[in-house]
Amino acid sequence: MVEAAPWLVLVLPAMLAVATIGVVTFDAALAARAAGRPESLAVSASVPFREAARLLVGQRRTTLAADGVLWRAGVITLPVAALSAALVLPLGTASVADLAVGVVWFNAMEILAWAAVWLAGWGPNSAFSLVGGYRFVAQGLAYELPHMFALITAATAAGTLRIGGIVEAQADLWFVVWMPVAFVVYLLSAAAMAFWGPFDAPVGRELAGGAAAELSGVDRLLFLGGRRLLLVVAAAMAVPLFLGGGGGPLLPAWLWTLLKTAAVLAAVVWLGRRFPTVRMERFMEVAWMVLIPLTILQALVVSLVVLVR
Amino acid sequence: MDLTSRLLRLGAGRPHVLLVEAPGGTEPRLAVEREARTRGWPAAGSPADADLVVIAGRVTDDLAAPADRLGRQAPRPRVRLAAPDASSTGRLLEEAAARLAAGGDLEDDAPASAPPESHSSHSPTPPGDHAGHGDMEMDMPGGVPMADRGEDRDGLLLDQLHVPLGPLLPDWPAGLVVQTTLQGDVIQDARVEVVGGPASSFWDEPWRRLASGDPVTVGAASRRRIAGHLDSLARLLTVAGWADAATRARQLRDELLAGAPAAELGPRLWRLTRRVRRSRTLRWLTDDLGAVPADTSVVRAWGDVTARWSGWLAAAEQLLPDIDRSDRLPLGDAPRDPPAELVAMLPGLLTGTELATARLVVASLDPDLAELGTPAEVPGG
Repeated sequence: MVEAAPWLVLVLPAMLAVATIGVVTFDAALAARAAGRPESLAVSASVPFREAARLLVGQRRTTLAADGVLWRAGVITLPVAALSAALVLPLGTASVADLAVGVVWFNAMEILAWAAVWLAGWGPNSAFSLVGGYRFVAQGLAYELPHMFALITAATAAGTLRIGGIVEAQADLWFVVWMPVAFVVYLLSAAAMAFWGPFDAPVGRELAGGAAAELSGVDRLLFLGGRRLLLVVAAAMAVPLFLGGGGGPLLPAWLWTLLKTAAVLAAVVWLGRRFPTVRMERFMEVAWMVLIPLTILQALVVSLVVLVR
Repeated sequence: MDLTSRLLRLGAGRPHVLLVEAPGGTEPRLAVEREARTRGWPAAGSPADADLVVIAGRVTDDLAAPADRLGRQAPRPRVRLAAPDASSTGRLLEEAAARLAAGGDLEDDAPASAPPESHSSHSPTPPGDHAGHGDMEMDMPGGVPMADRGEDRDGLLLDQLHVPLGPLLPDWPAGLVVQTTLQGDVIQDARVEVVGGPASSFWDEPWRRLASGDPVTVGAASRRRIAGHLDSLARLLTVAGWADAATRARQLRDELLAGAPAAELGPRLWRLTRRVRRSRTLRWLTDDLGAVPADTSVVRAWGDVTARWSGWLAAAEQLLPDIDRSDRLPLGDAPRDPPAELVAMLPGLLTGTELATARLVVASLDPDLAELGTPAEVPGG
């Protein structure tokens, strides 16, 4: 049973910030290992703070004939979207707001990322930024439909759009067991919506950083920090949707939620470094010819099970 | 100690390094890459992300303006470094980090009052220090003319942007400039220029020594050749967005040049080549890109991007047993074909490609322009 606990709104941002710091630390440790230079946890753990420090004192750049309002609006929208989406995220048995249309709220907030990245790419009047924006919109066209089918599959099985209801429906059996396709597609789209590797083309290095090409200082901190926050929230939502929420033996529900979230996040971050960047000109075909039919089929199977049961 | 200086010191412990290469600057570039990697300093992809801007090699007159612009585009605090040769690179970087911790360089703080050279172009690293000055006429926001229009490949009337790629771009052949006309992210037209030369190629050095009568061992020549292939591979993998594999390739390259024996390098090189070759994702992403028919005279360009990187892997594996040989390289052993033809085929290969594809095609040909003689406008654009 998930209850609304508005006081959580005081704790939630801090927890998400800790998780975001954890993502940067883990990613830095993986990078150090890949460079044949395994470093101590203390060194890896200092990375997020060093990064934040250099961006806090860094100069905020402007570009010639930039559209300042839209540019900054795009930058700030990304962390705001991630935080808003997190409002329906249950921590154990409590969430800030267990809306009757929780799944729709989550989906609506995460789609704000489209506007955020497009505006951040458009604003600075720079060709590479703009192309980064294009790339994210193309990426959205590829991942969003399979993503929505994955969300709807979980909601159909539970018979409700309320996240708390979806968790309750998994009391006997986690959804990941009988809808694995939806789970895998959900994780893929979580990485894609946070333009995390291998879906990081919108901020690709070969494009001088793409949508983030002109961002420096606090703007860069908000945008790239917001991106990691979005990854955290998207990965955390996999837990109530497919992994039984806070359900588990012995440990309290909130701890199970944290453990499962950490495991999902670690997997997503690790996998993100394993592959080269996937270009949408190649991935679009897979998304529409393979992933959409697969997720529709998965939704169909789940619907039949619900009807027969 | 106030908060700002604390933050400066904290941030300067892990500065982001924007490293670009001028022709002939391969050796200092390798040294800076190695020193930054051992310190765990990440590579910046654009001036906006850079704390240290390092130009490896000699900055010639035609590179002075772009080099200056690049340094100015980095946000303060910043430190600009020239690494004309590979000596004492580590000390240079340490000093730069110390200057960064103290607030960065101030000597370049004169306002960049002159407008950037070509206003019509959105340069790949656009003017950073120009806060929107200039007259605000309707058709010239900030003094920048509006984009032209032209028909794209589907016959739609779309904006055209003129975007130069290079010469000072990370993971890009030194001295190469591709003047592109972009519609969306597709290159409609490409013109190739070469700037900053002439210089002598680091990768051909053993053969130059051989030609001038010095004895060169087969081992030294093989090492240099494999290291060159690994450098190309690392660049391609970086452009392809596979940072971890690229780092491994760079690490092997540096150990090879430092003289590590074949017995130690062999298993690790083999692991890398197997990992790259087995990556279905990489094949899927590079198959059929930049295909060059097999009747071209430049053998190393044959096939698509996949064929070219597979060729490097095969050549590296094949040459590896030779790296400890101490017998003399026979006179007449030739270095690679000169890159003039590679450069000449670029416009044709790049026209009609998307930007990411174009970068992969350039990285897969990886022309070493220092092998080219005098700088010139390349015909065929």
